[in-house]
Amino acid sequence: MVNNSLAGGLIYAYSFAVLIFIGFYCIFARRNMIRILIGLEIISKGIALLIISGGYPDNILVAQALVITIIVIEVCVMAAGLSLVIKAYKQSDSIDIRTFSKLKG
Amino acid sequence: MFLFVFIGLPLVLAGFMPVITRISKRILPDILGNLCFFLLLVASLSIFHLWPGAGRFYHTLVWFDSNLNIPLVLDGFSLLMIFISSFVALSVGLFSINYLDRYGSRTLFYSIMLVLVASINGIILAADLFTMYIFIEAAGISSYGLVALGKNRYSTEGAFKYLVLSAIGSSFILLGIALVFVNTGTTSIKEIASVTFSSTKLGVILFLVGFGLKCALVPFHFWMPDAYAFAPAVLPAMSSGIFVKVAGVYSLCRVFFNVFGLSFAVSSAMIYLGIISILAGAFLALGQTQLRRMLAFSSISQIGYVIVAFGIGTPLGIIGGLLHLFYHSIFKVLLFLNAGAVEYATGTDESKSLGGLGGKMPFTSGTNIIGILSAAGVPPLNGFWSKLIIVIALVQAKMFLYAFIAVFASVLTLWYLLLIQRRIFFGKLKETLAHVNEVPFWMTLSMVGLALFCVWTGVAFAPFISRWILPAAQVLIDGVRASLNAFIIGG
Amino acid sequence: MNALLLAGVLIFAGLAVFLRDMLKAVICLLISSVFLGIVFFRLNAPFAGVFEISVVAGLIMVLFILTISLTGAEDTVSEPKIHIAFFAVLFLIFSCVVLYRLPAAEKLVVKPDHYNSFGEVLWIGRAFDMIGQISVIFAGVFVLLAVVGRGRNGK
Repeated sequence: MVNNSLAGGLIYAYSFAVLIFIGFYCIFARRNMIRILIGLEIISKGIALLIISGGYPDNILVAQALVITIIVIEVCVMAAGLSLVIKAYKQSDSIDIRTFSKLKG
Repeated sequence: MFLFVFIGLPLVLAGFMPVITRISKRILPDILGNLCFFLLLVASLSIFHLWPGAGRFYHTLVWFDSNLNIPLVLDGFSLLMIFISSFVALSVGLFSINYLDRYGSRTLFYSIMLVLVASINGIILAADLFTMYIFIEAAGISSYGLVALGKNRYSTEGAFKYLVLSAIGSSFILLGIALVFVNTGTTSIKEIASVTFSSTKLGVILFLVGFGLKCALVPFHFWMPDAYAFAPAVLPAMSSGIFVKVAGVYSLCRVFFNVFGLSFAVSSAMIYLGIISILAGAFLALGQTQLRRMLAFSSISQIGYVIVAFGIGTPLGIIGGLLHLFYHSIFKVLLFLNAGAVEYATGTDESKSLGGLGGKMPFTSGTNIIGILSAAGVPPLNGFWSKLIIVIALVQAKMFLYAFIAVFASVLTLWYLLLIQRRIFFGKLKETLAHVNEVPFWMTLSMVGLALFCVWTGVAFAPFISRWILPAAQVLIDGVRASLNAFIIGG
Repeated sequence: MNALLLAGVLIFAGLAVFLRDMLKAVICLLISSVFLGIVFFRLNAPFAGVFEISVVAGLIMVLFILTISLTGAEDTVSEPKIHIAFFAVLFLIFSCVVLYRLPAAEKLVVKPDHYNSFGEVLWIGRAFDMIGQISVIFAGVFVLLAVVGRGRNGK
């Protein structure tokens, strides 16, 4: 198991799982729109940690290429999300997700 | 070199669009955008004529004698989706020549549409799971842009909910890809397929949830009604017509049929989720009065049909699923474009404030009738054949209760669609609507073209099945073997 | 040593969720990114570490701070009160699930890379991803323009 697991230690797997949990909790249990985006960012960090620790030491180059691409994608998604938050604030003067439950899904 | 035009041409044009249209802001974006979509349609049809009928081709692009290689893969399933994407893009492009008069920012719209089409073609032609993910994200970000083009605060609300839920779906997909990478050290489809997996239950659940969020399966459907209700009508047409199918259903089938192989657990999960989607979509659509929202719930229901058909796994089920995928793109885009036409002419699509438009807008109401009859599965239009094949596949697999549910939901579909059509197009004309005219030429052309295609594919459905659908079905039936045996064409 | 760094990542990420002041929460996220970048360095992934520190702890934090200053979010949003106990219960359930499912994250096939350098991976091995990134960046730029409402022409 030691040779086969992540980066030679289970601690990376545990940290990745805890990060994912914190991220999802933040998205679902918080009402500030900006904090929801913070939760999304934390999930991406967890996935990056999983990929790098899973690629060590054999596939570390490919793992780095994947993580760099994921970070670029996150920048674009965050930019789109934050600009929507600013537009929402301009239109209705609040960034509480509760004031945006006019449309019942 | 030839396959790369599907991704490269829209992308380059999107990059140059803001520069080129300094010359003329009104006509040039329309001409360039629609010309590009038309060229893509012609390209997909010409590949179809050269197609040997079977096989999976890897096409590597060699750039200026260097070692650069871009592996693009094409097989029957990809060819079908490329054709659908070009056709839907062309129809929506023609429609928006007049529709964008209300929204301004014509250049921006065409740029976003071109990036969306390029990303969707990228998802279809990718040979690698991670590349597929990147293009799914690119297409998703473009559709957030299309939603954000709307003008009121409800569209911003819908856009934010859409962004968050869609990003959660992408995170699940990425988690699955990361787990697969950790397990096998690679993300290429061909190499993953050659590893036999024994303990992939976690990855399977992650992919199901992720792709389910992308294709609006119940219980992951919450973003669809809100995102579609107040966005400009071209967004639901593009999103439900092609993006939900490619990023959701196509990717789901690629991963579960060609990479992992369809196991019993996945098959049952797909059937259960599909049946729940069919029922929930149909029942939730009953109480709606706004046309676009009701069509969103109807989309959820129809995508449920497709997922059930793929979940059955028998060849007849796969054929039915592919056929319904194809036909649903056509008639659902037609219905959403009708909603857009109504909104363009009267300013709203809330059925409580409309009535009696049939006399004023004959083309819109005529094509709407054809669209509704296709969606409900009335012979001889196209929806009938695809639903019939799905029901026969369910009966053949001895799932009689589910077959009954499928037929029952089809009757419900007819009911709620006809109800809202009656309210909007028939009845007495309200005084506030007396000034309404038929919509301009390009919008009418696009809607009539789609309606004629519905009728044609309904009446002459057999050649469609044998030449387009059967090669695609063969790829999925071959399963994991299809991704291992591939011919390599240098480029 | 790596354990301490990982603990730092987790603690600061947790703080970013629970702090009331938005600015302090974002700064905690920034410190968490720096720790993660150092972890990447120690795992022989210098490029990923550099990218993580410069892009996430730099660019995205700048975007967040810009948004916070534009929306004046001195936390006028009240959060629900039951969160601490709820969080602990969910976390317990979650860790039981994770301990059961952890064997899924192990290497089944050990296959070393056949690339010589990082540049070769990025530009030759995964060249299609670069085109994908160009698409994503175009999409992001056009979406920003659409939301801001700048490209309003051609009426």
